[in-house]
Amino acid sequence: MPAPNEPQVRFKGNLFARPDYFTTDVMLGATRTPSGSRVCALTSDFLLGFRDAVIYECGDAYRSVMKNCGRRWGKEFARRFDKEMAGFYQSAVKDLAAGVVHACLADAFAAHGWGTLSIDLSECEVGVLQATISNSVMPALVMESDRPSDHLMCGLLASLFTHFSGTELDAVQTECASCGASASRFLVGSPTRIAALAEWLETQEKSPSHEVALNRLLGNSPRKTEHHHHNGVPTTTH
Amino acid sequence: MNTWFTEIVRDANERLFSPAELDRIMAYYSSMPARLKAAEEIEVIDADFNRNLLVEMRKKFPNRELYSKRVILDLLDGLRVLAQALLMDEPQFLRDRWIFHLIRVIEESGIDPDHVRDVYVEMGNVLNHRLSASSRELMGPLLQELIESTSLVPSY
Repeated sequence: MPAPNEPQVRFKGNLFARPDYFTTDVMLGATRTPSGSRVCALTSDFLLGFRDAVIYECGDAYRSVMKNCGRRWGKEFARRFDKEMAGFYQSAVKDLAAGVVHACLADAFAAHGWGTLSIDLSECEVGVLQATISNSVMPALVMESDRPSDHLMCGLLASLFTHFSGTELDAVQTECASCGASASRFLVGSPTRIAALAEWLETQEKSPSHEVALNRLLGNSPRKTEHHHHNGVPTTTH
Repeated sequence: MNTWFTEIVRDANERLFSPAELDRIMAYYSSMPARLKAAEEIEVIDADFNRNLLVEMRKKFPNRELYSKRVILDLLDGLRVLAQALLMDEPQFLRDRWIFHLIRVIEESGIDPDHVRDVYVEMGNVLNHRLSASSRELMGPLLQELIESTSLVPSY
């Protein structure tokens, strides 16, 4: 028998593939999830128009504005995800095994049309988490860019992992489909380290590969620190 | 996902069904009584399924920690998804709703896939024992796919 406080491995299938996950009431004109949260689909036109408007209004600062929008979105999404998972599993997300949470997150991304998410915990010990999103929305719309363009997802991931770890985390995008890579790749870690890496990335004439960015981050990484894992998310205390 | 029936209706878009489409629909229609019967039989098993399975798994594998009450209860959900896929005659529903997620959880949680396989094999034994021959025949391919899916994850 597993100990009562041990993370629970569960096999309840893909909640987001339930035929009734998105239910539209045509009389009310509202689409809701089983938890009652209202969702709406944003068209490609809207997203591109929104991005253009932010560029027009904010100039070079548009990247951080878009990332902050993603953070806000991520915060709300994490709250909804928590609520729906708790309803489905009859257990709080923090009590579930990391593998179950990751699988459910990937299911949620796919069901919402945000692409396929995979999470790499191989550098978790040093407080770094790697995330990859294939078929992400923004790069598919922007199509061509000299810098990564998935700022919304970058903010969303930062918020999500901050929520799950219970400690402030930030994210930086290292590779992007709009720059010719096969997928959007991100590094998630403590805000100071990510800020230093983001600054370094900004100064590079040509966008370095994900591996180069990861090595740079690990090179700066304080390996002899105390690490805690919460739902498989690194939380490093210095 | 759209079921095969939705796809046919959408593709037809007010034209007459093609002979192949009609054959598919008629084959499904003629199998409906057997599918309903199988679903009813599963519903009867459903009532004491998890208690019996839990006892059996703990007896066979007393040292395996995976077989908690919750995990065994979750299998009941799996059984219901199997029954839905069988009613719809739509194996893709089982894959989308259950199998892909199961494989991912096994991979990401570092669980021995054989331990998961064993519990599904036992579930299959219960079903084979309790279902009628016609229901077993309908359920067989779906159950086999579910059991074999665990072998897609490398063993540790």
